[in-house]
Amino acid sequence: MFLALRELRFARGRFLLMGSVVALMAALSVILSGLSSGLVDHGVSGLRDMRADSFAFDESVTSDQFSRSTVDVAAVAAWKDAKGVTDAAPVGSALVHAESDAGVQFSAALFGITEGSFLEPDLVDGDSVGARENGVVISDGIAADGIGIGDVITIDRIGTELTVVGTTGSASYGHVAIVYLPLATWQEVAYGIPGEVPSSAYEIATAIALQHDGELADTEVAGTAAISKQESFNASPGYEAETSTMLLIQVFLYVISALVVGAFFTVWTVQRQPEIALLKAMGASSGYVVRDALAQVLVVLLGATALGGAAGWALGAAMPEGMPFVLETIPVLTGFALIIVLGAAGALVAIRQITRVDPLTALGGAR
Amino acid sequence: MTAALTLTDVTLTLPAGDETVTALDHVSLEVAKGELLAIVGPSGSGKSSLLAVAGALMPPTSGSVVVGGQELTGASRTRLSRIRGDLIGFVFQSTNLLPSLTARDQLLMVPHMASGIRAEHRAKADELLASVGMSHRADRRPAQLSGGERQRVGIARALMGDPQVLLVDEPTSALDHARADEVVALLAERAHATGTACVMVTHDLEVLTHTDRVLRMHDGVLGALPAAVLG
Repeated sequence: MFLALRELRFARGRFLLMGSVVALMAALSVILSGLSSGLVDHGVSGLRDMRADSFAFDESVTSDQFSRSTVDVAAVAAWKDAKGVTDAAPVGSALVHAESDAGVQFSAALFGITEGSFLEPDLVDGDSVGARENGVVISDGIAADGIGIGDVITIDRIGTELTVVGTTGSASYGHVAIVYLPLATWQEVAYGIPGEVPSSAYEIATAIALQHDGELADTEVAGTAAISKQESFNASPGYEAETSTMLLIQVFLYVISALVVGAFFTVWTVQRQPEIALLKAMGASSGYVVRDALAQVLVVLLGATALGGAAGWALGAAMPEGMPFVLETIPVLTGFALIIVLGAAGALVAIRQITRVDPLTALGGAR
Repeated sequence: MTAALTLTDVTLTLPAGDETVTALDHVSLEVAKGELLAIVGPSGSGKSSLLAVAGALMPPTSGSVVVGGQELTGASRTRLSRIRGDLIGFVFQSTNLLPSLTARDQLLMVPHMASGIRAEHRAKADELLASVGMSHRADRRPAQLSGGERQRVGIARALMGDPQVLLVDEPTSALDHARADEVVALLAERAHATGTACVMVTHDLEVLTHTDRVLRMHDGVLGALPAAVLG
C-alpha cells in the first residue's frame, strides 16, 4: 500500500473523478434496490403476509389467476383431505373503487375470507373481519386517507356498504391498500348485481389457500391446480413485469460499473507501465506490484461505495410518503458487495497486464 | 581485490526481424569492488545489452555472469528478480523516478519491496540523501527537482539496498556539463566509499576523468579504449 496510497494522493484528480462515478453508481444501486423492494411490497405484500403456503386456482386459468380464476368453495373439503395439506380456506379477490361516508374516494383490493380461518390478518386495532354484519378490516393505505374504525365505505358499482371494524398493517396488493371482508360479502360484490343474490353465488371463490407440510404430493385436486405462494406473486397484476424490469436495470448497473472500473484501471495501468518496469527492475516481484495495485482498487471502491451508498441511503430516507420505496439492509448491502466485487474483477483484468511488463524496458530504448 | 561482477565469454544474440543481431560478442569482464568502470561506445554498440545482462534483466545466450558470487545464467525469473533486489542497483537515464513519491519515499520504496520499512531504513535513507547532498530536498517530488537533483536521488536510491554492483545507464544524458561532472564525481566517490562495483555506460567523454578504468564497446565487442579518443 506504500505506493498505492501515495499515488492516490498524487493523482487525486483522476481518482476523484473515477471515485465519483463509483459513488454515484452506489447511490443509484441504493435507490434501485429501495424502489425494487418498494414495488414488491406495493404489489404483493398482502399475499406475502398471508399465512398460506400455496394457492389452488381454477386449473384452466394459467395467467393473472387472481383476477381470472373462479373455483367452487366445495374444493376446500377436497383439499383438506389431500395428502400433506393441514388446512385449507377459500379466498376471494377483486380490485374495486370505493368511497367513504366522508366522501373520500379510493381504490382497494378486496380479500374475501371466512371468519376464523388462518387467512385473518393480524390486527393493529379493533375487531376481526365479520365482527358485525359487513364488518371489514382495512390496511394502512386506506387508514392514511383518514378512514378509521366505525366509518362506512361504499363499493362503487353496486353500492354495498361495509363498516370498518379493525385495522391491520401496511399490506397492499396490486399497488392499492386492502379491505379484508367476509367471504359472503365478497361473493355478493363479485356477483355484481344489487338485490337478491342467487344461492349459487355463495359457492364461488377466487382460490383455495392451502397450508401444508413439505411439498404437496398432488397439485391438482377437484378441478383446481395449486401453485406455491412465491409462484402466485406472478399471478398478481403487473408483478412479473415490474420485478423483471427492475432486475434488468440493476444487472445493467452492475455490469456497467464493472466495465467502468475495468476501463479506468486499464488506462491507468498502461500509463504506469514505465513505472512498473522500473519497480520490477529494482527487484519487485509481479506479485508485489499486483498486490499494491489491487489495494489501490479496493481503497477506491470501498471509499466511493461507502460515500455514495450513504448519500443514496439519505436520499432514500427522504423519499416522500407514498412512494413505493423500502430500504432493506440485505438487498442494499448485496448491491454494494456486487459493485465492489465486480469492480475489483474488472480492475483485476486490467491489473493482470502488470505481470506482462518486461523490466528490461526500464533501461530505455537503445540496446 | 575480489571481483564483484564477472562476465565470462558472454554472447547475446537478439532477434531483429527475420535475422538475429549479435549484441554481445564473447564479452569477458571483471569489475572489482569499489571500482568505477566506464564503458563508452556509439548507440547500438551493445552497451545497454551489457547492462541488461549484467543486471539480471536478460539471460545471456551463452557464457556466464556472476554477481556477488551468484551465477545468473540459468536462474529462474523469480530468482533473477530477487538477485536484482538484493545485489544490484540501477541508475537509469534522467527520468526514472516514481512521479508520486518524494525523494525520501523513492529510497524507502526499496526496503518496502524487500521486507518492510523499519526505523533503521528511515535513518539510512536520510543518511544517503545527505551523502548525495539532497537532505534539503527530501520532501520534494521528482517534478520539483532539477535533472541533476533527480540523478542524485536516483544514485541514493540505487545504493539503498547495499548492492554489490551498481549499474548506471547514461546518467548525464540530460544534464549540462557542470551537472554531469558533479554527478559522475559523486558516483566515483560513492563507489570508492561503499566498495560497490560500479559500471557506467556513457557516450559523454568529458566525464571520464573521474573513472578508474574505461573500456570501449564496438559492435558487441568489448575492448580497450584507443588512447587517441581521450586526446
